[in-house]
Amino acid sequence: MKLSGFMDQAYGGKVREKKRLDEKRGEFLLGFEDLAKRLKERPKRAEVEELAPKEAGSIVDLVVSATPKGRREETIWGILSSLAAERLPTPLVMPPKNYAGLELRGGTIILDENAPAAGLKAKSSEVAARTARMRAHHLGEKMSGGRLFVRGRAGDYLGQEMRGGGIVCTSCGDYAFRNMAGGWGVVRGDAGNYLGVGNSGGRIAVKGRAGARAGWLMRSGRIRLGKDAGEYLGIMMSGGAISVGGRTGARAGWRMKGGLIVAEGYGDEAGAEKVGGKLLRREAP
Amino acid sequence: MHDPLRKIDDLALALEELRLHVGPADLSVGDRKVNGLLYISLANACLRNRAALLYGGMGANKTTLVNLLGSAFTGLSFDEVENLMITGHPEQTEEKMVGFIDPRQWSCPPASSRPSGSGSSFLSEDGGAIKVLWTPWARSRWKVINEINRFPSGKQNLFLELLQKRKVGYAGETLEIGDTCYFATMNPDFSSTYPLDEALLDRISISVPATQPDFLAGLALAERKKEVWELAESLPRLTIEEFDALPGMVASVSLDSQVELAIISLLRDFTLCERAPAFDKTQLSGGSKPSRGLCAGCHYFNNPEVCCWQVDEGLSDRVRQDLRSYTRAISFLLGLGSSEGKIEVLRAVAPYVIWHRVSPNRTMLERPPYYGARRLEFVKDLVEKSINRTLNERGEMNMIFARAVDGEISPREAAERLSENDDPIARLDYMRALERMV
Repeated sequence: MKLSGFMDQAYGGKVREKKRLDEKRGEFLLGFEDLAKRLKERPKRAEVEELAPKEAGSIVDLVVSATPKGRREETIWGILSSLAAERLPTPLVMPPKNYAGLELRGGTIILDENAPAAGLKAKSSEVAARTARMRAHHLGEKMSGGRLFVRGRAGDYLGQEMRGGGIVCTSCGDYAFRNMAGGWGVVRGDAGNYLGVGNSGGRIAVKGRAGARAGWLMRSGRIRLGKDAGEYLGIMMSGGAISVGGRTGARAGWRMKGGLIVAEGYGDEAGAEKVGGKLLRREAP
Repeated sequence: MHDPLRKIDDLALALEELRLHVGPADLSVGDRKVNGLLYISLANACLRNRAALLYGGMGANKTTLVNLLGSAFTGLSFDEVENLMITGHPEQTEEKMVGFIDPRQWSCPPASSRPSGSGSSFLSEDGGAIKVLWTPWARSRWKVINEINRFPSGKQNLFLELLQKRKVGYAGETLEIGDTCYFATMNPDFSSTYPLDEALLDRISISVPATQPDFLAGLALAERKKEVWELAESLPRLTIEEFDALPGMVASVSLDSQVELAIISLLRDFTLCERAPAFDKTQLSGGSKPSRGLCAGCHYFNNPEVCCWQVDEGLSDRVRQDLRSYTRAISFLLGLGSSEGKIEVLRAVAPYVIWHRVSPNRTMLERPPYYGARRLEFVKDLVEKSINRTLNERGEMNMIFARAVDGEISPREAAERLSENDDPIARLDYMRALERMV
């Protein structure tokens, strides 16, 4: 028998033309660990985006089921969370983890301590509660668009190097909005030390107090504090404006070169060694 | 001569009714479900010079079942069949298993005055032929190797020459025993077991897991009133003529083109590798396997539709022969000899023929629903994918290739049309063949 006769018999004259292998359907991923394994040591957002699933639902599954270990995996997870938020039509709600919203360009992320987390299911309730109490760091880092809402306390480095978008949180740790170039941040409670260090743009509003050295080396942008500021407010700042609803700590505006600080009252040695800029006292209402 | 198939059906029924073998119907062939352990063992008993491995934990009715079948198929008593069996342990030797040189031949008068031996051809120092005393196991046509993985690794090499053969050799002497049924049993890896060598595993034609009785089976076994050897006397028995007629009856079952095509494609799906020498994964050695990073960057890697990267080993041509034989045997046992639907038999049988011969990709195997332990299920899924691809998606490329081979279109035109196809068989097999034809 000829080979074509053999094939004819095998297929009974019914030959389908669909060939699934011809279709490019993106990379097949076995999970977050698999994705992380296939990326280099310091992956860029574009590299993660290339390997990640194309559908928003699949990215969300990956984000929710992941338990990133170490800084490298946390940054990959952070980029994935941003990709998920950008592609979802509704806000992405999840528990806070380090680097959530890293390089976010659009969409909305709501970090809620009470949101269900797949990784916590297997843990005891005590461990789960302790994990929930731990503050997540580096939230909204390098974001350039979108919104990030933190329902609870944010950790250190909140909104670091952000260039756009907005962040709202209840309170935050140290180095919040460090090297900020654009966008805005709202802290509804108190901020830690080193708020807005090295800022060259953007707006920060803190309803409560701020710790020491807020606005250190600030070049541009605005910081508004609802209550008192810690010591060394606006130290060595060269531009921008800081407004304090209450009193500043000692040495506000120390070695200041430019910009403006307005407060209701100043601590000791305010404006010491100042070369430029202004320190103004707001009249009590 | 009675109808042996009917006797085998009676035997399967009697084994259950006498509570000698009760197991779940875990082998699905189309709409029909039967017990895999029993029917694969029966299929092996209908074939010759194939080896079936019954694999499972202790007390899972592996050895007893094989001996019961041996008793029914050879007409010997259960005790006699048990006595024929050899069991693996570190002190087991070729002399104990196969045979030894008869020492009496040197204390007897010179060779010229001795009666002639049993077909001896190898001459001793004094010019006479060496006489070998063969063990009952060596002479038997129903060979059972119990606990095969309790033989130390070196001694396992002995079976490379023994399994699937029609004769046994020792000290230059050969014993022609004719067509033989081979069975082996083994436990999972325990503290006193040894891993089986890949070459030996390839000579094992089919492997079937034996599981512990479930709740209902436990209740059924509790009803057993007599000892196994007593109940074995009540089993239907085949005559020697019926036993000898079985291979011919199985061979008369024809396989249609669909099954033949699916078998060859299945083998190629497992064996082809773009990066292996001659695209053949059986050429790969220890350090260069898919699990050792061979597939990194390959465009087939991580494509769930493709089998090549999901297992380390390729399949030898023995697998093709075994797939054909067991598909025929199971079709014969289920009365599907003349009907269509043998592709369903192939789907059911192929995983059992393949799963012991390959090492699945650990990352894939460790994921749900396999959890690192369900290797047979993993191979079942791969087999299913391969057969479905062949039947549903390879039609066009197969027809193009066939027309080129038959000269209906030019090889160049066929190559051009196949170059758009990314299927491994089209790219690595068909394209190479067409290049040779140009």
